[in-house]
Amino acid sequence: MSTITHPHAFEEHGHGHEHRQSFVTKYIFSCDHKQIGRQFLFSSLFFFIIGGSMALAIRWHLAYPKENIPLGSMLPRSMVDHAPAAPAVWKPGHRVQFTSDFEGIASGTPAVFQKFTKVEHPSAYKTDPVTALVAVNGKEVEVPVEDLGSREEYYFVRDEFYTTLFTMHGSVMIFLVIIPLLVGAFGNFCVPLQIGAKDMAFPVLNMISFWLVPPAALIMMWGTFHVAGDGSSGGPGSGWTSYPPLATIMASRTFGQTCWLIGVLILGTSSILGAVNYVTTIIKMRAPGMGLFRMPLTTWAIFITSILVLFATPVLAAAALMQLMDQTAGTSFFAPKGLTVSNEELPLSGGGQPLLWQHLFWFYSHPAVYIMILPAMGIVSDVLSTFARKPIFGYRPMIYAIAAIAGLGFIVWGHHMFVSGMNPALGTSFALATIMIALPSAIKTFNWLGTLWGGNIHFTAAMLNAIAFVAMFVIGGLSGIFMAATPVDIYIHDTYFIVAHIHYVLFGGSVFGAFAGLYYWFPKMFGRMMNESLGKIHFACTFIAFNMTFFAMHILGMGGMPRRYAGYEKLPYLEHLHPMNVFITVGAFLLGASQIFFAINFFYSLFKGPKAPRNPWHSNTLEWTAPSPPGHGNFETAPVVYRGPYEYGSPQVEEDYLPQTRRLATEHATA
Amino acid sequence: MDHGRRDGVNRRAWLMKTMRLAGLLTGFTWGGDARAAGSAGWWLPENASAHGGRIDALFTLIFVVTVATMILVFAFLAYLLVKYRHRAGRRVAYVHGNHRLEVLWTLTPAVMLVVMGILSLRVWADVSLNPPDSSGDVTEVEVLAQQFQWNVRYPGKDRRFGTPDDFYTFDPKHEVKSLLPNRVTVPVGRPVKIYLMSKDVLHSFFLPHMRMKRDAVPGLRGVIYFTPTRTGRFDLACAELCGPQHYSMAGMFEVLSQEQYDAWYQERLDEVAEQIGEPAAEEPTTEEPASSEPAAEEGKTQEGKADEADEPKQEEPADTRPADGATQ
Amino acid sequence: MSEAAVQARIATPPAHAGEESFAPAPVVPNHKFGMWLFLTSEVMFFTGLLGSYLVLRLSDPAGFSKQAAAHLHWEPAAVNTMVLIFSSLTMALSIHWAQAGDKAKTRLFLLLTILCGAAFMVIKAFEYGGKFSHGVYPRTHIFWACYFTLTGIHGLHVVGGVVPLIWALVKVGSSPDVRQRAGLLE
Ligand code: HEA
Ligand code: HEA
Ligand code: CUA
Ligand SMILES: [Cu+2]
Repeated sequence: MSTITHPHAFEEHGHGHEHRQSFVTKYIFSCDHKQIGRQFLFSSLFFFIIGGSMALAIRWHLAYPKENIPLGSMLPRSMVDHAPAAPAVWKPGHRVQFTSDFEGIASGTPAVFQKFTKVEHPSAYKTDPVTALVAVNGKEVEVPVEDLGSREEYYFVRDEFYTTLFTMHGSVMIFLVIIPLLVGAFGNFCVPLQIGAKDMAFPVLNMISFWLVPPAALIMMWGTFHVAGDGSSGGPGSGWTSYPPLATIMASRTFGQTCWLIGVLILGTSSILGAVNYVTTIIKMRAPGMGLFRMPLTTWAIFITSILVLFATPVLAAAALMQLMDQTAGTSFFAPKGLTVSNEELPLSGGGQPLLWQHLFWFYSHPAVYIMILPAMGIVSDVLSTFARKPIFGYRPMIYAIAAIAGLGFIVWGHHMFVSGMNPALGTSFALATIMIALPSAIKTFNWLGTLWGGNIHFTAAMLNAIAFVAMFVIGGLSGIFMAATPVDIYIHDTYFIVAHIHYVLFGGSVFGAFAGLYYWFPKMFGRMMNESLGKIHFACTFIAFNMTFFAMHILGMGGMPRRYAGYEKLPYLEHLHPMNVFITVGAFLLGASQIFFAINFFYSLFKGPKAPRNPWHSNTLEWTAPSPPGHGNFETAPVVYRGPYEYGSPQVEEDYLPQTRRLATEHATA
Repeated sequence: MDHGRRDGVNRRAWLMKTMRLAGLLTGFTWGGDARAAGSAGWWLPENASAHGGRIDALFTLIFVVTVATMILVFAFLAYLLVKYRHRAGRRVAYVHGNHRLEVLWTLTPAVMLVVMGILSLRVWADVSLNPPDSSGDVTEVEVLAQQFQWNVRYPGKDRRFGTPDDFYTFDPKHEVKSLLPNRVTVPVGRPVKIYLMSKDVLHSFFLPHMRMKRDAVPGLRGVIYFTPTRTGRFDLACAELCGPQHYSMAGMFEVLSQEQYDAWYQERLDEVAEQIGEPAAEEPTTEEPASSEPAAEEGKTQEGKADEADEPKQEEPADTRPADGATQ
Repeated sequence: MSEAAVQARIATPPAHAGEESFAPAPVVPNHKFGMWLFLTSEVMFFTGLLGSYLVLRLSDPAGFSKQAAAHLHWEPAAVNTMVLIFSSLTMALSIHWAQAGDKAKTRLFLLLTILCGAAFMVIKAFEYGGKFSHGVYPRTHIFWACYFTLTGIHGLHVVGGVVPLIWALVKVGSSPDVRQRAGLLE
């Protein structure tokens, strides 16, 4: 087909002078949207490894709090602590002294649940005692030997570092992986190509928007490895939500917390610049014939996502700025007067409100979760339609549903605050709005199913990931219904039920969507094909390990296990959940290992993959009419669009696809 | 719930649970017998409050609806994937959508959701919008959270907070030695009203068995209410990140029978009377009702906390929670 | 396929190529459109800040007015407002002359605009200095936290407007777009 639409390859280019680019302007400070897209892709994948490794450390700590964490001896002492081996055996009646890093539950909790870091070795060992006498807060208590700790010396994650771990895991995954990957990489790469533009509207702005990411990431990472004055980890430690007054108090202990905030501010700026660019490009630079309702859904999704970014992110910036003032200029927007920490009253001017931050933050961050799913929904729509060889079912309802999700997304932020101390009456309206979001989501889900119905489904790696997206998004979305029911949320709020939800929508949704997009567009991005078999193995392992890991978290949540707990096993009602946690950790490591298939495939194909043809999947949309990879300026001849993007299986032609640019003799708009 | 210690036995238990998980994953034992599941920790922990049953019912309803939806969607998806898998020469259905179907699959979930919404808002109104009148038959307790401890205060005989006959764990001058932090004691069968405050950062007062949770916000005085229906010692946890030792804010929520409670209460009253001597001797720092600037008030009495941390905690066997469960 | 037709279409101006509904030839240039979008986000930014200010103020009206009465002076604020309004005028004039093609006048008014910006910052600096010398800092009271944050951000925006203006002054003779950009900013 390319021969049809592009008979005159290399017509006048209009950008001739830009062919003489130095290495720096071509590969590093490139203004080409495709290169910027690839840069976003590489940086996101890099941070995916970082964020994933943090997740694995979290999982290890939760499953094996008293066993040596792998690589523990290589980590700085601010992060891990060292516990000497507990003696193999204990003399009954021998007095063991330990210092506890944990004040101890004043009453009600047996000593066995108390974590200790130092054990004084008894001088004489005997064989096979069952219990030992341990001094607990000045009293001798008999405890089973097993509970005294590991028999080998071991390194374990310190509580301070645990908080840094999940904070940075969440922040890295959200701010440095998913948003840059879906909006930055796919948005940049696909939008101009799919609408037939030569580049973005503001190439320099685009370059700046990418180059804001590395400094922000560096600042955040530097903060992560910060060491506090007391020698413990000084990383940011108030969750990716950074609720004050904790965040502010943390900031007075360590600069790491402020690094986090500065990083987020910069990343927010980057997002806004990107969004301005996407919206302008989509509104102003569409090829002839590319009406709004002929745009592929990926582009539609990025378009609406960008509008979300434009309206929501500045509010985060404002809030972050206020928190920055709180942390550096001594204001207290988010704290009342008279807080005391360690018996000292904090020098606060007061007058602020902790809940104000939560309102501002969620006003951004709820839309932000849709920023993280809508592009994936767009990608998945493209992939499903392509490989089912069928027009997307309900093209316009799909668009309206995206718009509805985005619109409703602005009035539901309070569902994160049902039990926050906010006036409970407000919860009522937020709950209703939240429940309503299930409707456009239902429309999307059923339209995807409708797309598969009557199709001719090719199970490529991209398609498998797209199908998994649909299934996993349904699970994640349905668990959202539990939380939207306010009384149920009283119980499950801030438990692992939420963590399960997060990962079903973010990993099961966004990440599977991103994988689908990667397998699909890789040939276009790099001009080489990926290995399909490795892709399928990667998919199968990821899918199984993913469900192992995260489905079980629902059960932890139902058991009432709170999130962000470094030592859940110390609570009696959670102790029986330990086996489940081990199971989850095994799943998580399998999940991490599954990504090795992807890494191999990715890098091997990058250099050694077979050369990709122009349109390997027989797709309809414009990007497939450009060379693989497209050169500077994208299209050899300016594309003209005659129909909608999903004309697969059209009876008008012999082939099972009908590209948007192909002109039929009896051309009339069909979309 | 089994609180068996983590030892060799657990390995077997782990296997069993893994198998049950497999069952759960495949949807066989989704709800089965909720109680049986509960006893193994696969369902919600046992409920011990009056409203908890309604929350559990709502949870179960949503569970049934969503699992049914999920199974239907997945079954249909699987059917599509098998039926329409690639076959050379298959001509696909060239359709772009169907308005009647769109309406159908919007309205059906809409109806289900509206029903669930109405049900849940009714429960919500009862659970959080209608606190019982303080003058009525309620037990009032004030909880002041701090890193990493729950301080508790009872209003004493006059049933008013901020008077000298209060007994609590957070004022050095009034500390009643036998009153431990992290421990709330209430009678069974009567409404409990708990006021929540915080000295430093956000905390969340979480009583899993009571199906109750609410953040303690510095500068605000929140209120929660519920009626415990069973006696026993239940868990108290902190559910809002409050620092590295967030997890260690565990405590005990003790529900006593009326007689036990009365005895316990009288004991405390006697102790207070002994400690403060004449009830008329008012302390200037605490005479205000606590609703006014609780945190500021704490600021003035700051030295009070040091001994809480240093003081040896009475670890009487009676106080130690039996290993076999928080919920008898 | 009628390649000739395709070529013909490509040859014709894009605005008439497709059969139906695509955006008509750009009426609003890209940079202007982008600027509007950016302004939308600026509006949201200030909505966030001012909204918070309102919330905080409503929770303590007395404290706010007391603090304000004690140390807030309307004179410099009024002067500054005038300066800014005047700068909009000079900016508009500058654009006007740019479009009319009068380089000298464009430069003159551009320079005036920049001077206005500088004057604004100087007055602001004196205001801040006065506050500091009275021991009024952002940390003094939540009112001052709001005051310094809002006016500080505003000041940063003025700086952010002046910098491209200086650039425009240097490169004067280039298209007036750059100046519009800066003009819109303030
Ligand atoms: C990609 C990200 C993403 C997406 C898409 C969603 C989607 C939804 N989320 Fe989620 N959410 C998060 C990311 C996301 N969320 C994150 C990160 C948090 C935690 C933040 C933190 O505290 O750290 C969170 C937390 C969160 C909470 C707060 C919980 C708490 O802290 O107590 C709530 C409460 O209502 C909620 C609800 C919902 C709902 C109702 C949807 C809906 O949009 C889902 C709609 C979809 C469906 C319902 C499935 C498809 C529909 C059908 C198959 C039709 C039939 C259905 C029925 C009849 C029910 N989410
Ligand atoms: C897109 C978002 C995203 C993604 C992909 C993930 C991925 C994972 N998450 Fe994440 N998670 C969040 C977003 C995400 N998470 C958020 C927002 C929070 C809340 C934070 C907060 O509370 O503030 C959270 C919190 C969170 C918690 C709760 C912590 C707590 O509250 O105490 C846990 C616990 O298990 C967890 C686990 C995991 C695991 C095991 C993965 C795995 O899927 C990771 C798998 C990936 C890899 C492992 C990396 C790739 C490969 C390699 C590194 C190669 C080497 C590996 C081997 C050889 C094994 N996450
Ligand atoms: Cu207190 Cu968490
Ligand atoms: Cu949300």
